Amino acid sequence: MKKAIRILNELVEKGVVEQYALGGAVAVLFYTETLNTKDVDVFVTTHVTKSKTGIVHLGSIYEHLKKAGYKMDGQYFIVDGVPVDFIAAYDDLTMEAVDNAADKLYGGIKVRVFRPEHLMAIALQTGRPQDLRKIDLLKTQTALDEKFLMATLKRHGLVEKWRRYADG
Amino acid sequence: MPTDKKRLFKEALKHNRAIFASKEKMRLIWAKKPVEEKIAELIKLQEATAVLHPELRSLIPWRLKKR
Repeated sequence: MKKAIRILNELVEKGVVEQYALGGAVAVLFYTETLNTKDVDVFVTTHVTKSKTGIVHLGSIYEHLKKAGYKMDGQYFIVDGVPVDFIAAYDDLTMEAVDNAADKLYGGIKVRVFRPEHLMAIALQTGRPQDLRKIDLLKTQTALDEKFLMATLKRHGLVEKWRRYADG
Repeated sequence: MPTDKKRLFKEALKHNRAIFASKEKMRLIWAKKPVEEKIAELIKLQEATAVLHPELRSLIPWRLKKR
């Protein structure tokens, strides 16, 4: 895991990506009890290239990692045994989450992690059962900035979804 | 329902609530553990899953695939 984080920082230092932040279950894990996951989701803002069909390619990352000798397994890059899934920030919410990520430490190495309020908003937007479970954990196990959370939900049109979630 | 059974159920409910509250407190403590420990737990959890259910090994990508 340490090696994977080192590589992420290296991607920014070398200008391969503009910025990165951990999202998904591994990011939630920074704030809550252990929960299971199969990969590390890394959101990136990057110099993406779009094909004629509008598909976003993370070519620069793939080229860099392949040159460095890392192999792909399906959609993942395997770094030190850890499957890393690169996701290009795909809307205003994920873009904002990457820009405003929190600086944390993992084994003494700096790592950027989504703020819990952004993790909640993204989970609410995605809305799968496993995402709602993440919201439950974050809501009960971490100190949230309620004002910031509500402002984020409002900014991204998620207030109604939040109400429905809160009503159970 | 016999009064005795009713009383016992009431007692059990009281104890269950106390256990549940104490578990919730424990979970808050677990949440504050260093993330390095939590990742190590996650790997252990996946190892245990692969031992109990070998057929799931291919679905668990973390460190297990190397072994």
